[in-house]
Amino acid sequence: MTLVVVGTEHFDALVAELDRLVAVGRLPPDAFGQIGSGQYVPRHFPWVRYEPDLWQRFAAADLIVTHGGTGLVTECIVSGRPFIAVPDPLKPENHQLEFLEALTERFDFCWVREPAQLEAALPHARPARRKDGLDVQQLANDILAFVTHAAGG
Amino acid sequence: MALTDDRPLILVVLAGGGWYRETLRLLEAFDPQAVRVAYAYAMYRHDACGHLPTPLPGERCPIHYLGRTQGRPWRHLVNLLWLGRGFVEAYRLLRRLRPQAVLALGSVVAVPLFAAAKLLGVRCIFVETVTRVRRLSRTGRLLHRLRLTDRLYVQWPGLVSAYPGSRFVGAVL
Repeated sequence: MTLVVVGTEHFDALVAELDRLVAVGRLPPDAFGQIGSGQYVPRHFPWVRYEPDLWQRFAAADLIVTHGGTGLVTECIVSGRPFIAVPDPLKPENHQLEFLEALTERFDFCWVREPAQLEAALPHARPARRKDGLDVQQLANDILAFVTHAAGG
Repeated sequence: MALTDDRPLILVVLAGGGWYRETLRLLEAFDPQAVRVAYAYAMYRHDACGHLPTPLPGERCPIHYLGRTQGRPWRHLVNLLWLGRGFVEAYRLLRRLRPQAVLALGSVVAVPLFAAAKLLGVRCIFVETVTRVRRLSRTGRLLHRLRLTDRLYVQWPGLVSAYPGSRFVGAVL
């Protein structure tokens, strides 16, 4: 199954491109979409606007296509499933593009700059692989040490 | 080991979307025996944040959400009113809970909350979202300019030199 996800807002250009790829047979018909508040409604696969348990679909996906938001990209990385990330250029200060570019320093993963490049990238979708030793634990420990000190502990 | 109530309390902002997932990653790394948490959630999209699962249990308290202003100039006025409302809510909440610190990752709800916390002597910790690589978000820039943070964490090393006083010690991703 191919899963396309856009998070809490919308990314019509991405959903429309997935719809086209399914229509022309470049992707299998068992696709599923989470389209947020988008205006474009897929004609070739089922969809929902929001789904609280969206994460459960990740494990069953052969390919995930996601916008470049931190929440879904994190979920894709944690899921260990093959994915392709696409930045939404309409986000404030184009920060999704900046984020994905920078993330290549920390992870090996597949991403493209715009939905039109998705078809060519399909053979390159892969699970993310960590490249550095950075850890969230260091950040959490530093915060807890600061709070404990503030509390006089 | 039995948990004791003398653990410090952190009031954590719980906002939607990617901020929620980043906050979750951070909370998962907290030692539950070292800290207690409560949540100030941004009222957003049918109150969804009030029901989101979290790895650490804690009371949930709503604070009014500031809407997007992009392409809607009139929202600045609405937001100004909501900012005042959020400040009053935050002040009352902090007086009641008396946390040792407030923690926010990315959300603009941090602005009224941190302003009220500063008045009450509560430590303010802001973690800039991992999506901000070369420049802080508008919320981050505002908090930095107004000096409303006691700790400002960034998740990319290049930001440290651009924003004096910020720290880079790790990242959620």
